[in-house]
Amino acid sequence: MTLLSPVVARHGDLAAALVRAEESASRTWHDERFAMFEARVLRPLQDEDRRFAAALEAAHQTLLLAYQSLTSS
Amino acid sequence: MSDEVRAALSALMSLRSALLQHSRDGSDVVGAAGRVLQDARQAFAADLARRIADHNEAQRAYQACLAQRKGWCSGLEARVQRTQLRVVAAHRAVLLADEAASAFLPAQRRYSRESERLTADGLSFLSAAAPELESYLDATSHGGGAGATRSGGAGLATAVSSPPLLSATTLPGGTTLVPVDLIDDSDSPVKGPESFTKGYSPEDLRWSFDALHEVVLPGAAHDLALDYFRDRDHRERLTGTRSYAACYDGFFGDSAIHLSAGSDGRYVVANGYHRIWVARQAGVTEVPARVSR
Repeated sequence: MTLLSPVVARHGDLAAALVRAEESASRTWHDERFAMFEARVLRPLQDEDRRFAAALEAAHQTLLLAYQSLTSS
Repeated sequence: MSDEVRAALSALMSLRSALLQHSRDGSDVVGAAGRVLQDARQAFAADLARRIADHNEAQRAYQACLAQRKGWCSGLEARVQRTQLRVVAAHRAVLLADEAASAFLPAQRRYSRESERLTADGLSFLSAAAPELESYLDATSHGGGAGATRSGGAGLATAVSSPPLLSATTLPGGTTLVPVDLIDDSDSPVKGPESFTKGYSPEDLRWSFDALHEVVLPGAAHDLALDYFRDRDHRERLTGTRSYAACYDGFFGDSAIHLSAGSDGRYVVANGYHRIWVARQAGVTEVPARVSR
């Protein structure tokens, strides 16, 4: 059976890529539109990434408990 | 200043790529997580069924032993107890997997919905910002001022200058901008230009996409509606398929592109195969569409 850990790792990669894209853009695009884009799009997307990562991790831990229940008997 | 604008334009294009990549990868992750959970639940259920069958078999053997009044049934009784514990453990695993799924699925739906909305909003934002920056570059490279309107482009009439940001929620007709990459049109009946037999050509639709981006969307952002575009058609002597009114009506009226959102974060086409085909051919990255869940 496949565990959720590869999915957790992959989601971590895509969330980190968005953070890197924001950091890279912030070095060259300084005006108020970038600040607005950060506030309206990038930060809410990162919040959603964090929220989804927490849900993925919770599902991963619960599935691990389920596997442990099976293998302990 | 010009270097700063060029850098901003480059950053904007990078952000656009990053948003599209994030959207694609996010859809893949959502799909993968759903498959893992579903596979786990099926595997746990199958294991529970096997253990129940073992337990039933153990009980039958034990009952048969008791019925024959033989004196050596204790081993079978122990097997019944052992298989019973294995059933309880498998049942617990099934309940835990169900619990994991029921807690995760709302989060999965929310992530798909919000990522899609924010990505569409972000792409719309960047689309609105790019012409402003490009027009600045055009103007400065030709000695004009920063407020000059964009020249060239699709050869359409001058767009409304400095369009405000178009949010996905402000598009007319309940439509929203959807990335073309997220649309699954693998079942499209449109195979090429020969599939256009309804009175308009691929070139007509390319014109319409240009009109959409250059005139209609900026106009809609200023709350201009069908009457305005009819009047503008009249003034510019545009008629039929190559008119702003037809463009507005086609993208936001009854015949708007209609998509159904799938559980994997992609969209199935209910109406609009021809426009989606043209969008792909023309390199258009997002289309307005009415989305049903």
